[in-house]
Amino acid sequence: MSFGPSRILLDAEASARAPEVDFGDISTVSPDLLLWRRFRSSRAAKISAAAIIVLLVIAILAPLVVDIIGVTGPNVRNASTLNSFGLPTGPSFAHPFGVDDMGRDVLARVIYGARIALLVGICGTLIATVAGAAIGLVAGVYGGWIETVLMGAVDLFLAFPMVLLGLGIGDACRVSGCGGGVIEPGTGTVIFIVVLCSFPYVARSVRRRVVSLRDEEFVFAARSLGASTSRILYRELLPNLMAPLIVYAVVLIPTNILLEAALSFLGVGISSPTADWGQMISGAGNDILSGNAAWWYLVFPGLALLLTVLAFNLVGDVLLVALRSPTTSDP
Amino acid sequence: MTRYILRRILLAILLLVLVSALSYFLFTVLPDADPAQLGAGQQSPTFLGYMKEIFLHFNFGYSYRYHQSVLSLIVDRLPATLSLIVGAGLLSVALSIPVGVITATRRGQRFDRIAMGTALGIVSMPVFWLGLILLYLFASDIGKIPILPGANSYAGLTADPGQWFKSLILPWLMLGATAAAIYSSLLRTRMLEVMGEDYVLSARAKGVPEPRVIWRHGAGAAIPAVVPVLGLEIGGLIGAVVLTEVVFRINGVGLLSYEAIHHSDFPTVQGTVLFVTMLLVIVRLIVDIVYAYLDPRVSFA
Amino acid sequence: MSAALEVTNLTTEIQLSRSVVHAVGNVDIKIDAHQTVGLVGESGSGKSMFGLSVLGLLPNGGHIVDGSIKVDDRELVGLPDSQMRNIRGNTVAMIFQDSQSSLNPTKTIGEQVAEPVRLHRGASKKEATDRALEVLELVGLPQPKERLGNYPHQLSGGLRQRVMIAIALSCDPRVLIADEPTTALDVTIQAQILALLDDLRDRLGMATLLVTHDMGVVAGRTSRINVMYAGRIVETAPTDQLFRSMRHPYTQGLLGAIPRLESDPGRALVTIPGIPPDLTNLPPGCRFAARCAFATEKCVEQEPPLSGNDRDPHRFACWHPVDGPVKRLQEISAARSASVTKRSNGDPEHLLEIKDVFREYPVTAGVVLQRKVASVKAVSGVTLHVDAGETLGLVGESGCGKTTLGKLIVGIEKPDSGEITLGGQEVFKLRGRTLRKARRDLQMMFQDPYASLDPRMRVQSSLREPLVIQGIGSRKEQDERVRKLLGSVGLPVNALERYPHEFSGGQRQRIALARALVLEPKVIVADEPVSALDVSIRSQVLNLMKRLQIEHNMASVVISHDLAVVKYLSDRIGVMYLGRLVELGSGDDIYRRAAHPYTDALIKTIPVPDPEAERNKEDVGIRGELPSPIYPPSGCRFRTRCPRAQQKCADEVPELRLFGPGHQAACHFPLQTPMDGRAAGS
Repeated sequence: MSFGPSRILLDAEASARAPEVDFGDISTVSPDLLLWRRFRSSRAAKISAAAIIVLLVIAILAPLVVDIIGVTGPNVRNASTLNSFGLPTGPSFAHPFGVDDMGRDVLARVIYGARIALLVGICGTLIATVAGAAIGLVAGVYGGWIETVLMGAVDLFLAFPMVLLGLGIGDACRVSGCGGGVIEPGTGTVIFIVVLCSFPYVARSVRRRVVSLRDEEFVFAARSLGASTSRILYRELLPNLMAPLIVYAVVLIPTNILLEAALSFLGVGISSPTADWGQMISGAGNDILSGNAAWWYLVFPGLALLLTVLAFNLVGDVLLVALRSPTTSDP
Repeated sequence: MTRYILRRILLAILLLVLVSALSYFLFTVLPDADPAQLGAGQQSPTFLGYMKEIFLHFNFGYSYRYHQSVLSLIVDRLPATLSLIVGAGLLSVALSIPVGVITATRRGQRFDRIAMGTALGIVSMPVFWLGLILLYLFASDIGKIPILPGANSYAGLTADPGQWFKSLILPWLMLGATAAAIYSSLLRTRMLEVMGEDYVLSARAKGVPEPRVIWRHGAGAAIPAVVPVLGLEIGGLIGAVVLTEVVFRINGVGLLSYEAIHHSDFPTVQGTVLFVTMLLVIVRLIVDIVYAYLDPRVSFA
Repeated sequence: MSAALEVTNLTTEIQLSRSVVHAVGNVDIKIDAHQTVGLVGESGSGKSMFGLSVLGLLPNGGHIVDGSIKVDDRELVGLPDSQMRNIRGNTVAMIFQDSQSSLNPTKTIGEQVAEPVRLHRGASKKEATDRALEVLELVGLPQPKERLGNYPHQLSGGLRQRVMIAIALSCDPRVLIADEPTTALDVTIQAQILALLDDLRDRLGMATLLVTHDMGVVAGRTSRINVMYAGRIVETAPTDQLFRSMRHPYTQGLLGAIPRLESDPGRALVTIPGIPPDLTNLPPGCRFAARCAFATEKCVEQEPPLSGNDRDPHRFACWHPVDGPVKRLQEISAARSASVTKRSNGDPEHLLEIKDVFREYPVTAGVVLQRKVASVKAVSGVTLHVDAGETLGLVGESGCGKTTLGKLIVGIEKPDSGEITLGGQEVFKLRGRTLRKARRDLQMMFQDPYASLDPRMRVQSSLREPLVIQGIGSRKEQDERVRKLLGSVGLPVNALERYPHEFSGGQRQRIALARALVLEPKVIVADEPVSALDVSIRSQVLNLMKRLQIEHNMASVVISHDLAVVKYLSDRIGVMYLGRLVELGSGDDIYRRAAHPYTDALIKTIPVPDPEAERNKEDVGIRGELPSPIYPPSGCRFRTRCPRAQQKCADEVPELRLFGPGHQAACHFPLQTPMDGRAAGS
């Protein structure tokens, strides 16, 4: 380009042109894509995400995995593994994680335990997210007394401490189920409890987002163009809520996994013979407190829990930070 | 200001009523089981009767196993639970304030990374597992390194102060560390926000020495801001309290409900859940009122 | 005699994770006692960083790379923080722009003003409080004793700013740095604060640095001005010389780009194309070269130094300096004035009519049930009209109701009483499909370019959306229209694929303008269209709006607190105060023949970029603060601040009276003679 001395641009026409940036070299990036990029840039998050995927695969293919490793199944009792005092033996070649007090292989039980943890954690969170989002959305969009009633109900559930609520419901539904047969004792009850305990958080967060969105000017703008409420809901609000929703869900999963473990530990969750990490720790605890130090089936299920929850927490943390960063073009 | 307090109190009362109603629904209406199966000695099965029992007679049920009213059972066990909570609470405050403030001021540096990493680890751990591991290692009767009293060794404060204190060290540690992990990271987040505010810059421009800026202006604004969140988090920590009591066999309200479950003493379970929840509502109310005094903006809003 | 503040060759850098921001480069500034020096620049020019550098309060990663800062011959660069702390708030004090966020919300006023005194003077609590009281009186805070126990949020903006000044002065500083001290304030309050700063400087003798983007503010208050661009001082001169005979093209452009009250609306504003450079990636030559119409190869390759030496009063950094302000501005068009006169020939059909409109917002209280105890009287009985093809401007300070009125016109809110009709039809009595169709004709362009576009929609979708909602045209036709529109607002076609966050503020505003135009409405309402933009970008958008007004021949309503902007764009102007229309008339009527004391005050207190005019300004006598819109004064709402107010003003609400063709004002004791004693029709 060559510059030549010239008069200052007095031409209104020419000055109306905005020649600043040549757009050719910037690639277009949507805000959601920015979020994903920020996530990817964290090594911890990537490792954790990979670990979670591996875990999911193992859980789904549990019988196959157990077969491949070559240990006995999770519910196979093998009295021969107990030593002369009738106490379980520790890790050995045949049973890398040892056996429990009924001769069942701990490694197999840990692998099968993943199924419950992930099933309850992910399913429960999913249901809670959908329910909570629906409530928060309706409350936020319609406002007025609808909002007051809905959020009042949400706050009501929040008043109960999670574990105690779980204890109460777990105990009540343990005998013959709840809700006219819909909620069965065992896994069904636990999922029900998890949903009840976590949907309020989603509902509150979603409502807060909706309220702040509805006051944003682009919603005003749409309304002034004649958009109806439902159109605003679908075109303006929902897309802007998708990314946060996913993040809330991911952040809730570890809490729910721990909740499930706690409930099983206390005896109102999943009970024998189904393999469950919390329940295994409970059994191990009893034995230890009565003097039979069988550390292996205390440590391994606990480690499994710790690592799973840690992985989800790391992913959730990174996502949260990425979500809250201002939207600029640099990742 | 008084208007605000009055409003909060009325809302709390409404909440208490609604909480009872909901618990009636969840524990009496929802289950398919025959009331007889759930154990005789329950309150009146009708809704109005239920509400009357609770609010007029303070009757939270009758435990047929202990042959006592649930309320009296709870009152008996409350001191133990309170010992646990208060001690752990103090420990967690003592830990989380310095950790939260210092990690915020040394963001990204070694201390921050180690502290937050540890916090993440603790929070990801099942609390009861941590307790069992601690016992396994340190309990005087079964542990590898017997230095502290094991489970089941709790004694009342008035009965045997020395034993009371020693038996609570491990539980306090466990509960306190868990709570501190959560609070310190909350405080750290809030502190980072506050330190970026304009009035902190103004304070520095006045020539205020940095430590004072951090503690008086920064922490002074950040700590009260964390208080209302405490109200929200307390619910989750009650769960940790219950689990701690179960692991260490401390004779508190949490252990009461646990044992009740295993003895099919349903009225006790139900009554305990309701009582604790209502107590929590009152505690949150007090926290809100205290917060209103701390932050003058709230009451004027 | 050595200067109170002497900065030589100051260079500041900020180290980011992947780049270095060259915030300040080779800046020399000298200020004597009893002197106010101005530092002017736009956002990103480095002017705020300069102030922070002097105080040693740079953000993380920032440090002074080179240069010296001397206060009373004492070197500040390189001082350990413990010693710098003694200087901050003591010898050198700073006032920030936003008093709301710069004051600690949890501490009382008294505590905050006393704090520096206790720190630096070692005063006891009582002594410090006494001094606080003293200094609060000095800054003219009414009822200072009662205010000591107040919290910041209980005070209005103007009073808070006085408190900030009090804090800065509490230890008798030698140097005062005022960073945009009045930008967040209303015009009439602004004048008070600036006068206060002048007065304090005269009495206490501080060397004051006035940092601002507003040329009008520095015109009358400073003896010397430094113009800063992209971190460098591009020109420095005594104030009069700078305005009369500036040499740097940027200064010339800046002054030409500002609309002034006396400018001819028939002439285009000077524009500076482009945007300021990226401070992490500076060009090797002159930093202004990319936007400069006079730039040559030399400018691009070599950075010009400041001309002359220390002793020259007027210095500039340019290879091809200009000579004074722009001499000839292009005429926009005769076409426009012609079309305007054509219409005003007695056509009784007004396009948009606003009749006696009221809008109030309830204020609730109550312990359990929220009862309405009072209301914010946003709009109280406004009657206006807009004809096809004309532009009506609405101007006023905060709380005057102009934004609310804008929302009412476009239909985002409904009036509590009164009528708003478009083409004879009361739009907001319509429902459903007819309402939606009617909305085509009334479009809004919002103030905040960042917020009014959905961040998740590409530009193309945002622009097509109005057409989609209204069901106009096929997909192909819609795309075609969008493309043409984009061109007419001066954006390239490939902008369609981008997301809002990839554009600068000025570009986003163009997109917002395009979206308002896409339905080819009959009326456009523009709410503060340029307030969020930098000065040099504003004129780009203003010229664009002017051109589009002519091309599309639409009616528009321009709402702004900036009278000069409104006057430049509008044919007629309505002045609002606390929800009422106090004066209505043509630009000339308002400017040369203001009848209402408030209008007169506005005109007289707006800082103009003309030093002589500023100096010759009379004190208009507007006292006090804006009353609360919840409890507005009885009768004439302006009476509490009006120098001409009398008992009648409290008893009777003044009616609009005619002062000339199309010129009305509502005042019992106006500054002009009304045409006849009767109240005016509309």
